[in-house]
Amino acid sequence: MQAIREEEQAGQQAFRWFLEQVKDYALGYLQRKYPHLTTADWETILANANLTLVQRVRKGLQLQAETKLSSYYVSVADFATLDFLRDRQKGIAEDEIPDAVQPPQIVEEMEARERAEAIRQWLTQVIGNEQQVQVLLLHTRGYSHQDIVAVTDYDSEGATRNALLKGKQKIARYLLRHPEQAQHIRTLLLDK
Amino acid sequence: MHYFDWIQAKRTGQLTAAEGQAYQHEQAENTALRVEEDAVELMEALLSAGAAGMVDPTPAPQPDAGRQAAGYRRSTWVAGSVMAAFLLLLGWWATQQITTTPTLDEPATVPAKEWGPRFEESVSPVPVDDVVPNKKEDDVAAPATTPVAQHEPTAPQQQEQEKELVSSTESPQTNAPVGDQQNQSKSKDNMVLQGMQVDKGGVLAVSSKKTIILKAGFHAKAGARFTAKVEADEASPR
Repeated sequence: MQAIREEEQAGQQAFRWFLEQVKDYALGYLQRKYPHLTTADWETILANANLTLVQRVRKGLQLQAETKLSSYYVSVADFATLDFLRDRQKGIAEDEIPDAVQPPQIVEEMEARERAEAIRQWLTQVIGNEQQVQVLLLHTRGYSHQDIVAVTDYDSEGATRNALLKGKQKIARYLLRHPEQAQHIRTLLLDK
Repeated sequence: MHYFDWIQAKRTGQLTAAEGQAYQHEQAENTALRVEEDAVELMEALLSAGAAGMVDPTPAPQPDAGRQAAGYRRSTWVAGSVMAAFLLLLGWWATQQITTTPTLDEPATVPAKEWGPRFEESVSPVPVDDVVPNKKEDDVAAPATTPVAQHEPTAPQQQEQEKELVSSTESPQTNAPVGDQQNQSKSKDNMVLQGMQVDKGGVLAVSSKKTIILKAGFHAKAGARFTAKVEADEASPR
């Protein structure tokens, strides 16, 4: 860390040596996680990760005692990969996300059960799969995946985990794609 | 939605120390990450509101659970049966130990070690008319103390003896099954008892001038009284 911070020649050499060593370590992990990226993509991504690390160190980055610099670097490179993918996909419409649907009709006077039913109907429109909505609501209510298998048509815990992940992603992506509606719902639910 | 996995891992406390610190620094610098975090937070709030008022579903029938319960019942039944069989066998063996112990009044018949394995070979009760003399052994001199131990036949010998036994069933013997009545067999030079059973309460007394052989399939049940006498000179019963 001190070597990165200092601009003396010895420090620069130590930093270069660290980057060379950590590059293979980071690539070993990230290439398995994002197998479709090319060598050129990785060069760009790791260059961005190196720049981010240097900037943070020079801003006074202090790592906790239990944090290794190499592990921290891998996380920085992981975020750099996601940034790279996000930039590359800009302008490309995401499939499966529906156009704006009528927001849930929630009013203060509603009982919890009526409000829940309005939200369930809205979720079903957004996700397009009633069973996935059921999994999301049951899991939020505290049901284990085993319990969910017992009360739905899903036949394995892996299937319910997959349904949960996909359903949550769809809702979050919908809210990102329709920020006005997200703000409306936020006002209704969180009073923000 | 690019940072969903990271956001979910952060919310569920699954990040390592290094990942947590990197996340914190990224959050401070990355507007897109913060926007996605807000979307995930709103999504979770929606789900909480939706789940709060929902009616809990009735659990669907679970065929697997039914099968598991049936399997448990079956294995319990099997284990119980095995245990019961073991206890019965143990009880029978203990009884035989008692009934075969020689006393001053009642001479020993067959050592207990001769009985155990033979019981397992017995498959069906056989009436006492199988108590027949073994004609072929008429000429064999019986040893004075342990006549049965002399007759552990090899397979061919046993087959031969069995054939002889079948042929000898015509010899006059008590035809009634050994139950609660008393049976006294006729005295012969040599005697082979095979494939028969003395029930509880039944009494069977056999005597021979030379040997009495208890073969596979002979079974005197607990509570039965079985006496075998070798009376060569009518003075030394065994």
